[in-house]
Amino acid sequence: MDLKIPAEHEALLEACKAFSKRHLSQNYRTFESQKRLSDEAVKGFNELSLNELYIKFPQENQETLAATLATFELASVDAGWLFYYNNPGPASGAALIATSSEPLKNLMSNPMSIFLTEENFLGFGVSTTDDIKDKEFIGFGATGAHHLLIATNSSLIYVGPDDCQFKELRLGAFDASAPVKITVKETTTIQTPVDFSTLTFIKSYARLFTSSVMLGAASGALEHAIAYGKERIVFNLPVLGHQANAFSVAKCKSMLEALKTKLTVAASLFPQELSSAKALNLFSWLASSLYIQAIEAAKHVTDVAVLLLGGHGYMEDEPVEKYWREVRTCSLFYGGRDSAMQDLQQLLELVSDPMVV
Amino acid sequence: MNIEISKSTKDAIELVRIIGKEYLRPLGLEADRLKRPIPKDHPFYFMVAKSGYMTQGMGSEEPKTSKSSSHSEGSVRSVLVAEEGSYWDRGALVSLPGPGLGGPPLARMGTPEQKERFFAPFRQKERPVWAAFAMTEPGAGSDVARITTRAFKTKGGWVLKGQKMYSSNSPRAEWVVVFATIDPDLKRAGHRAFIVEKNTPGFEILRIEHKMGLRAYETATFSLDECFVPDENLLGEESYYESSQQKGFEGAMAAFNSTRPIIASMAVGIARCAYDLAKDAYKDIAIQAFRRKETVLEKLVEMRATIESARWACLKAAFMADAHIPNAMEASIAKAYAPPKSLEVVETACEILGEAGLLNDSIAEKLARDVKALDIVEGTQQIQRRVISKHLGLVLTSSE
Repeated sequence: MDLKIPAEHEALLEACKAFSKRHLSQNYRTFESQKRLSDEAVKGFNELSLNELYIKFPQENQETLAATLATFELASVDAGWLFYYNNPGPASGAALIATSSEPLKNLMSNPMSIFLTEENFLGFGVSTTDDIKDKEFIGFGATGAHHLLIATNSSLIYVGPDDCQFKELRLGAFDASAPVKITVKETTTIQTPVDFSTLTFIKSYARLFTSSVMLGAASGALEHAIAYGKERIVFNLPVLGHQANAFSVAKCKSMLEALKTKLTVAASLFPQELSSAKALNLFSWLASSLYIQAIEAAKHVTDVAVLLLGGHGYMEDEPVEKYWREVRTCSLFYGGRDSAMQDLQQLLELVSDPMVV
Repeated sequence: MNIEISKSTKDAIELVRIIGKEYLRPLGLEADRLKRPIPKDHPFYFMVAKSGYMTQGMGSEEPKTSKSSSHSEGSVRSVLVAEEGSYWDRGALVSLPGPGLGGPPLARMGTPEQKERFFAPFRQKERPVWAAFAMTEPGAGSDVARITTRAFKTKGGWVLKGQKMYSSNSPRAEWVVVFATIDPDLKRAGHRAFIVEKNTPGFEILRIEHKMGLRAYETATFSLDECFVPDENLLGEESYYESSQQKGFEGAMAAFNSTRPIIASMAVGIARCAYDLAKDAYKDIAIQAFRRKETVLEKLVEMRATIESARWACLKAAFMADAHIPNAMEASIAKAYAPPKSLEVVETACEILGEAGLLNDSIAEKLARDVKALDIVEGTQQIQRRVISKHLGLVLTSSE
């Protein structure tokens, strides 16, 4: 067993750190109000080639690990723009299936090409029912044309730009991603039945992405709170000199470390091929159960971070409130906790513990 | 045991419900969307002034629980009214004209003359008037003993020097209760409370804070630069502080014992709103997504049970205040319990609503941002646990 992060990914993570420091750490409020990154920041992001990493799979599962860790790293500074500029992230799993599905394949001969433009966006949604007419979904990139891939409990549905209605949206977080509400109109949608394992894999892939965003954001919040807590004096001691606070931070750190390891493992076990239900189910179990835990942990950690800063933590002068909002908003994307729990209930019977011989 | 509330309290709740639906909710949502407070010359505030609402929080006109009861139910009423108002919009509720958090210290510490003089503007019904409270400083939040705003004695009064922050409604206040110290080395024994009136030279609003939620009212930082305050504006006058070494600090803490259950109940009101949103959504879920039905129903049961236990914690602390039973621990229990539990309820409601909770400018997302503030203001969870530990006789750290 080797749980070390491969050396070749370290350079990417360093590049992400440098990008965050240069473009994000001082400017995230501006990007939020302008609903986009600056041209310079977009250029810097493109140089990371993260989008290419996402669309390279499934040729090499290591690409998924690199992309997941990079997302974590970027979200630990600011995730407000990730859903826009890292367009392929959550949707790429669904697009992958689309390319192998006959009717969708015909319609979307090269769905990956959609990812790398600012004129076209491929959104991904989860619906608990097959009837999606008049249903509303969240997309990003308010000015572009939107294609939607929607995973229901039994099928994958494609909705083209002409069948969608768009409206700018306020989400409470991620403003720099230019969120948009997408309503499915009277449609000529194409629907294809997909088996449980494949469908759950698609959703789990989106959950892996959102887990990396939530855990990254929580990690950023905790680091900020630790720095503050070492400096700020209350009752004659630094905030973190009080045992109750120090223990609380230690608990947060433990949760994040454990889940980051699980994130790494889940990303490493990204299925090499779609034909193995066993591999798909194992990945889905890890990614979806991680997602449930990441929601709880990220909410807890950002809550603690805000409390450690007290009133300062509630103000926009500090980034902690932003992390707090991002985690909560992110936790509702792609069907949220309930959808994941439903899938996990079924997976429970299908996946055996990989560490039990 | 009698859990009946008086008719006048029921009437007060009903009035807030009407105002809440018609004004507090829409004004609060608009302020949140525009990211700016409700303007102080908004016609709604004049209507509120005309209604006589501004006399709330003056420590008078407290109704009896029942004919046979020996005590009033002023605190219980405040808790229930605050819950109802926050159900509609906590930010807009706090923005309402009246003495606000400045009321309890004046009512508790002020001389009869001071009460008469400074509460007088709230008895008129012509125009909206606000008051405010200021304790927090850049270097002293939870640890109020560390405040450094100085009060220097001078002929005929005091000179105040320092900076206060996170003071709600202070930019529009007629007066602000400011806590300062005559000597930082005296710690709590050095605390004094002053009424600083609007337009006092040296009193300057430095900035309006940008908050994550509760945007309907202003939260400000202000400076006191050689700010002269006459002797008659020292709350309780010197004799009040001579009776006990920590009288100023105790006055502030006593005010917290009154207001903490109210803050806690505001969280309960927000949780109730979230519960109702989720309950409405359940009807659609039950029809459209039957697989989720049982899960959602179970969550609704837990949410409602949580709301009720949080509410009773608030009401017990309020009842004790009305019955003149020391309630410092119970006030802190209410404050330590209700806001985080209410946040859980709101987050569960968001889960039930799913992405729908994020669409159409949903209130649910705003409720989560709003309720989080109640876990912070008037003492964070850590501070409440500290108070509770102390009352349980537990040993605190060597830094005490």
